[in-house]
Amino acid sequence: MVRELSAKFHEVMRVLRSACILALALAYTAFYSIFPSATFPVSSDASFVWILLVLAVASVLGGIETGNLKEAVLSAVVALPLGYAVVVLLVFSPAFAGLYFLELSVVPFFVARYTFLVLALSLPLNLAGAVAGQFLRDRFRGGRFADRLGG
Amino acid sequence: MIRSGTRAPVEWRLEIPFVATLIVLLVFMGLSVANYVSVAQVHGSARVEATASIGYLGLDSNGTLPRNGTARAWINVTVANPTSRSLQYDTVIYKIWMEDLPREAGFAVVRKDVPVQNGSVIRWLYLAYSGSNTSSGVSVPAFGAGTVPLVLDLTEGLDPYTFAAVQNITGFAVSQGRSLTTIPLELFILTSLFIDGAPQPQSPTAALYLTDVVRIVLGQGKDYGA
Repeated sequence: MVRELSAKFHEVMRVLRSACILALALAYTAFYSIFPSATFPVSSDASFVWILLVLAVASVLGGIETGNLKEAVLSAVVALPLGYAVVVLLVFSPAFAGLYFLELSVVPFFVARYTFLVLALSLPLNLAGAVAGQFLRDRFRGGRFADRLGG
Repeated sequence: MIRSGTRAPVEWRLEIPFVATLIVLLVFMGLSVANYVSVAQVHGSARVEATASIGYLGLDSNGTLPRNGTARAWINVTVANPTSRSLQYDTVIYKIWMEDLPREAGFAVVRKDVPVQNGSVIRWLYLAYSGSNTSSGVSVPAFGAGTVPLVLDLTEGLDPYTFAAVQNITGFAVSQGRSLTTIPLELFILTSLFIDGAPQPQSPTAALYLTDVVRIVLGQGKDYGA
C-alpha cells in the first residue's frame, strides 16, 4: 500500500515536473507572441521560428522527464491551462507595480484572443515532443521504446 | 511501471538539459517581464507640459498689426520622463485659439468661431494656429525631459483669411487700450513619442495594439475643434 502510494506520488511529481517546463515554455512563447517589442529578445514582430523552437525543445525535454508515454501525454494536457494561467499572470505583472497597462478584467480574454495560435500549436507539439522524448530517453537508457509505450 | 526513488547516473545526465532549459526559460521570462514593466511604466509615468505665447512683429506706430506684419507663435512642448527608458518624439499636433474679443463685445464678424460655455458666459474662440510637426528629432532621455520648440509665423501671404481675423482681434484689443499679450489664448497639444528599444511592428497585418505598446500619446488642453 505504502509502496503503491509512493509510486503514485513519484508519478504525479514526474508529470508536474514535465508539465512545469511545458507550461513555462508555453507561457513564455505566448507572452512573446503578444508583446514581441516588449519582451526578451526584443523583435518588431513575433518570430514563428523562435516560438516553434522553444516549444519543441521544451516538449522533447518534458517528454524525457516523464516515466512513460501516458505520463507524457498527461503532462502535455496539464501544461495547457497551467501555461495559460502563467501568461495571464505575466500580462498582469505591471499591475503588481501599480501600473495598469491593460484593463485587468479584459486581460484573460485579451490573452486568449492573441495567444490562440500558440496555445493551439503547443498541444500537438507537446504530444509529438512526448513521443520523441520517450524515444530519446529509451536510447540513452538502452531500453526498448516499444516497452514504454504501454506504461 | 514503478520506479525507484534514486535515479541512475544516466538519468542524472538527462536532468542536465532539463534543468538548464528551465533556468534559461526562467531567465528569459524574468527579462521579458522587466522589459514589459518598464514599457508599461513609460505609459503610466510620462507627462507633457506645453506653453504658448504670441508675439507681433512689424507693428504700426499705433500698436496695430499691419498687413505686412507677422503674428509669431512660440510653443514649447516638454515631456517629462521619470522612467529608465528614453523616448523619441514622433508627432506634435498643436492648436492655438485666440479669444475673439470683437465678437464677445457684440460686433458682427463673419469668421468661424467656436462657442465655449464658461459658467453663464459664452466665450468665442478663433482658431489662429493649427498643424503638426513630425521632424523635430528631439529625444527625451531616461529620467529627464525633452522639449520641442515650435515657432509658427502667420502672415497675410501665408493665410490671408486667418491673418485678417487675427488682425481684427488685435486691432480691437489696441482700440480698447489692451496690450496684445493679454489677449487670452487656449492651447491644445497632442504629442506621440516612441519608446527607444521597443521596435514598431513591421508586418502589415500586425494588430493595432502592437503600435500602441511602443508609442505613447500625451495630451494637454481641450480640443475645441476647428
